Amino acid sequence: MSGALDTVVTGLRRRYRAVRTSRTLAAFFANPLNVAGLAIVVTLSIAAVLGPVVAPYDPASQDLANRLQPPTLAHPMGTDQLGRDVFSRLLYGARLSFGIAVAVTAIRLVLGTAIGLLAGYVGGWVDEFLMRLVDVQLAFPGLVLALVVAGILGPSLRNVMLALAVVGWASYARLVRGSVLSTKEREFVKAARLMGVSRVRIAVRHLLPNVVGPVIVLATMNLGTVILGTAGLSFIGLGAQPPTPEWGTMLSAGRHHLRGAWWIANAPGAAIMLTVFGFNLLGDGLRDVLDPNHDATLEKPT
Amino acid sequence: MYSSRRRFLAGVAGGGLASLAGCAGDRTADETAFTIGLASDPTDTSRYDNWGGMAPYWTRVIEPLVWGTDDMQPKPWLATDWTATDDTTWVFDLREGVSFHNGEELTADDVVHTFEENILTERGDFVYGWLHLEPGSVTKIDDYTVEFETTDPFPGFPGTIAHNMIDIQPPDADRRAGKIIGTGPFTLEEVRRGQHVRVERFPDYWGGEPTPTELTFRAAEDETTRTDLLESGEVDLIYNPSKGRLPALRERDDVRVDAQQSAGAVSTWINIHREPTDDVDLRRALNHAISQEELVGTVLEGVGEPARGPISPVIDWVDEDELPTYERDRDTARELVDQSAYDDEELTCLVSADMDDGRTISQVLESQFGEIGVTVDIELLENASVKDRTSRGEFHLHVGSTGSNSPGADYIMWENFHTMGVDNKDLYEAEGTGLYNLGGEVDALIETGYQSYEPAAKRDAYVEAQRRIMDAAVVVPLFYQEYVVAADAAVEGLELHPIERFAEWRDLTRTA
Repeated sequence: MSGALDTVVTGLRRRYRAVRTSRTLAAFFANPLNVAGLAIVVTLSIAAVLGPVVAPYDPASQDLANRLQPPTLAHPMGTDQLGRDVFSRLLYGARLSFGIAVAVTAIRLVLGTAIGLLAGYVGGWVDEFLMRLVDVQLAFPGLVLALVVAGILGPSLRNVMLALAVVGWASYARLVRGSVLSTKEREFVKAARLMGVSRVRIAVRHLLPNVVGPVIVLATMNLGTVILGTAGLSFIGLGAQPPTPEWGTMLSAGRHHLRGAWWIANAPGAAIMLTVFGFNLLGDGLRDVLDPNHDATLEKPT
Repeated sequence: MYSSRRRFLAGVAGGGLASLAGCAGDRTADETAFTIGLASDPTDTSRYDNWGGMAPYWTRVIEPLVWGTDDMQPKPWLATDWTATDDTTWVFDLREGVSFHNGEELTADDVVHTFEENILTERGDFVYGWLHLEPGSVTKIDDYTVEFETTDPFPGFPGTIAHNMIDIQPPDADRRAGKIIGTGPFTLEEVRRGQHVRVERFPDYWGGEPTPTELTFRAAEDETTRTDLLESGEVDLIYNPSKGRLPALRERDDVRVDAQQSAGAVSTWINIHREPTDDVDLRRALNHAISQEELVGTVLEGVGEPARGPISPVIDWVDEDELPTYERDRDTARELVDQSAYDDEELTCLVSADMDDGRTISQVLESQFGEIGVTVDIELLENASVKDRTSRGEFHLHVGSTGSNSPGADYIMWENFHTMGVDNKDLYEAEGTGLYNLGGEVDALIETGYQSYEPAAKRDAYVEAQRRIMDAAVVVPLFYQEYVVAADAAVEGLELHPIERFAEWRDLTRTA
């Protein structure tokens, strides 16, 4: 028992040392913008997870007698047109926005990666067919296509997720296909093939790990875009249905009170901006350290 | 060299003075030109193709035979008088000396042409039911007398044709091509799709030369944009500014804000043929859950009047004092919910995404109904989707409104509450149900009111029908609509009418 524990502890220590001495991590943390991005994303993620626990009020609880109240200690971000606490709605909204962003990005990632892997590895007419599909998809402006899909499906958050998911997978497919085309010609893949390893195993165990870096970078950048897209569709009424505290919906309702009650629109507006900013900084940072075409080492003094 | 410089400077000064003079001239012209910001697009070709893409409302280029008084009665206009010679025959006397914009005089031939060709033939079946006329039912008696034969007794005929869309135009007009020849105080000059309609003064107008030389009706559908346009001075007058900015507008010295109760009313309509809202106890409970005063006083910023019935009391056969009242009483409401067949299911509440304040109102309803233990799922949908869902009866609650663009408002009772009304007929014929129709005696009362030539008898029948409708809690009345006009304080001469689309601009002036 003690021996097993020792093994685990030793393993953890080794991993910790590896992390501490990792040049990749050092490169990431050397840039303050990357740290800022990570800090923003972590903070907002914690807010999204713990929001419902720490929110001082029920986000749907109305108090018409106290509507349009400016920020006070009782209501740190004021109250909205129905007397609801804007701060509580923002916290609940964070969970929604993050949840949707993660779900949509996951769908895009899985779908796009699978298609890219298939096209790149199988090649031939399958590659031709799938890439023409990607071309067609990329030919449409993403948000406009999402607008059409959401408009046809009808207004709801689920439909917004679907709309955003079906329009965003193509860039993953193209990225993965490109990586797979170059990786599959490398010696270790040829060796595996000669050893009789199955095609599925080669794809999953040898090709996929080599395209993970760029895909993670793209996914991180995508999270911000999806949050922006969700808020945009909700803003024009195609997303969350009232009284759901979604950031885009809050922004839309608040714009009519922009002069008299600036906090209603500005709170979700700032949250959206901060979140997208955070994901973009993080994505840039990850690209710097994970992109194989990029020099990930620390700058050396000349 | 010196001389040429002086000459140059003199030229610049002269040019400047000339420019200033030109500007001054423009300014003088501007004093009698006005720009009006409308909440709907006045160039919507999908709705106004019969008028070359120009809204027949607001623009006052074209005119009907009959107008409306401030108390929603038919008022002589292009027709000076009318008489029902029997149950189905109306004889109208035309005003003499009325000139069309092409200089021709209005005669009975133009009226017959308009009704027979432009209205009854072109616009199709729906007009027959609306006007109770069919092709071949309009005949000329003499140059200034026209006879109308309605398909059935229809006392509301004069009030019904007092509508901007029942306009008279001569055969020379090519309406779909935009050649609009009306009799109104303004002539159509320009339609710029999605932007504006521009009209100019018609000096030979039968009611006297209008004061404004030019009016521009500008599309400004977003209330915030509309309010910005007024505040920046780009428009002189707007309808329905942003409610959130009303308090600030009212405090400004350079803006005048007026409100007028309209013929509209907003209610939560209850599908009484679907479970569990077929239970009258549940419907009464919903009525006891709402405080109309609170709704108007808070989210509506005081624009509107708390309602007790589904139809605006500016219509003469509505008497809200006769209607049962449901004060907000949550204890009673909860008891009624307990007594009812309601079993914690979610009630679907449809709201049109285009409806003013619909999003806010529906959230208040959702919260207030939640207080008495009734769960509501709000669905904000496009108009077409709402119509589709209501026509199939696939909803429990619908936040909607009644209103009339003419003094003839009988159709509100018929179409909404009579079993053979447009809202109920299809479902009744297919499934023996409907939406808001109590049937039986209420149908009979509506028929009596609809076909009564005697105002008192009409009123008694309609009031009794409304009393029964409210007793059965077919709707949760919310508020009687008001519309707000905010204008540059220097603009004067606009009298507000219960039908906002009957606005007259003839006397608009701008004080110094």
